[in-house]
Amino acid sequence: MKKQRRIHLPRVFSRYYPWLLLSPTVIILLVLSIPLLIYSLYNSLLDYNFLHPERGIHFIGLKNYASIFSQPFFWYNTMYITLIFLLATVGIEFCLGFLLAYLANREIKGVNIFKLILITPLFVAPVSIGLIWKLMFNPSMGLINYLLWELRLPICNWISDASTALFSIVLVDIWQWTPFMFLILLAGFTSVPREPVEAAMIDGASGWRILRRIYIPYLKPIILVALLIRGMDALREFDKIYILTEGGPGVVTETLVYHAFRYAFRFFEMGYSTAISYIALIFVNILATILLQRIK
Amino acid sequence: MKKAQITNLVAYGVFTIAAILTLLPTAWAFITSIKKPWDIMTEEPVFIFEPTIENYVRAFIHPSYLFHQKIINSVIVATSTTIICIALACLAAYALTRFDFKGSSGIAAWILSIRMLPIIAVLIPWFLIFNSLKLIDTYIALIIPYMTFTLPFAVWMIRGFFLAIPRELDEAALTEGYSRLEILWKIILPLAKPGIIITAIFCEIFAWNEFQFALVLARIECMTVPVGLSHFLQGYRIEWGPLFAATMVTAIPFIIAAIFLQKHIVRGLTLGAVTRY
Repeated sequence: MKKQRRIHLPRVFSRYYPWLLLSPTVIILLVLSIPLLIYSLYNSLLDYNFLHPERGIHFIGLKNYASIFSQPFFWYNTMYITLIFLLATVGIEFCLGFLLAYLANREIKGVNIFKLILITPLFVAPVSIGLIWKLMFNPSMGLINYLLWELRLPICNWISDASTALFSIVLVDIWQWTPFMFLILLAGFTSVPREPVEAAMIDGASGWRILRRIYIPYLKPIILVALLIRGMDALREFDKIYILTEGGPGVVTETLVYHAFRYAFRFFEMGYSTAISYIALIFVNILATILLQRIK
Repeated sequence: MKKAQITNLVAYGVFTIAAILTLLPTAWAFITSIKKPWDIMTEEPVFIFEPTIENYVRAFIHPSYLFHQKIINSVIVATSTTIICIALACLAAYALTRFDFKGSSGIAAWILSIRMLPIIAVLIPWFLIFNSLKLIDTYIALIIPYMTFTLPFAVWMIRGFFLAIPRELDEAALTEGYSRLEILWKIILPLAKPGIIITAIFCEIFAWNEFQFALVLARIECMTVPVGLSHFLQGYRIEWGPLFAATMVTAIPFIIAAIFLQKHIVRGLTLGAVTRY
């Protein structure tokens, strides 16, 4: 063993040693979040159009928020679509993922190959997924209408029809993210101890009863983590909407985030759009707080 | 016994349908990428055709696409982000797992909460800041915002891998006279190497696939792969062939990564918040 140089650090220094190691990360994340959010809070109180500097930048207090909240459009369109998208995608993905995980949680051969096939959408870029489905939905070249036609089922215009556009995007989201729910819940299922399940089976409990009384209580924490992460991502969804519909036709697929994006980078109303993005931030925080409290 | 067999049969049926539904759109995109234009733009889908690689050539050679440039940009941005994040995250994770200090779990939770920010809430201020600094359309304008999301992720992932290394090893090394940084460098890092590589691949994928920042902050010279793909939609006529040729080329590395990462994907997708599985 080679002789080590021994440096006796002063006690004060060793007390702050972990902070020294943490400091680059903490400082970067502080700089990247707090000042930015304060700057954006200030911006949300301005009347500021980026493309028309001659109009001037005026401090208008809470007027942006007031005008957002007083518009029926905001509640009946933007918030309504955001909530429908959130509940439909997370809800259906959870149910399908749960069903698949429940079925995979038994000793059947080849389950690993199915698992490998099912996880591929998770690695394809969201933009590519949007493009692939844009072709699938195409009324003439797309596979979907062709298959529906061959099966003598009614066809429709999917993303270019106002009545089906939101449903189409929900469908693509389900295709993309159901594997996520499946994998996480399967990991949960396999971690449930065998003994209580076997004991209940010997007692003659029905499959449904075992599911409700044994599996669900064990799975509860991981279910909440999965819902939290998926919910956050569903609220942030942007890529697929941009590629598939750009919020249209009209505004029927314009979620809160897309609404803010359109005002920021189509009309360049920086004050107004920042106010919308702040509402999105608060919305996400409320949801995260509710779910995190349940996890603890 | 019979009932179990029926359930197994149902399971196979459900999985087969799920696998077909999963593969069909991607397979169709691949088929489109090897079709000639007149086999693509048809009244209804064509299944029998003469395959070609001209779409792949066109996506890279044609002056309005030059897709390899986008790939180079994406590699630079994603790799820089990953290297910085992994280096910082190793130090931070070491502090969080090897020292008992007040506020350690609070800091860890705060770091994770940054990852949950809606992108749009930081995108608009970044746009204004980079615009006034004349940094729009530079690599820096992408690497810095990407760290907001990849750094918390890397810290949590690596924290989980470090926690799995027994602390007795550190204590033994301390009594032998190793310094703290030597322990990290000579003991912890070699042991956690597979975990760190997995984390790095996930960071690379996140940064590579990111679209919203890239769309606004790097429009021309530094355009990345996802934005480049979305640009195929902007002509008056969409060229599906080269579009899906480019999609396929950029997706293949990640399909390979998916096979490699299979066992760790649950941890990666839950941002390292679930370390037991």
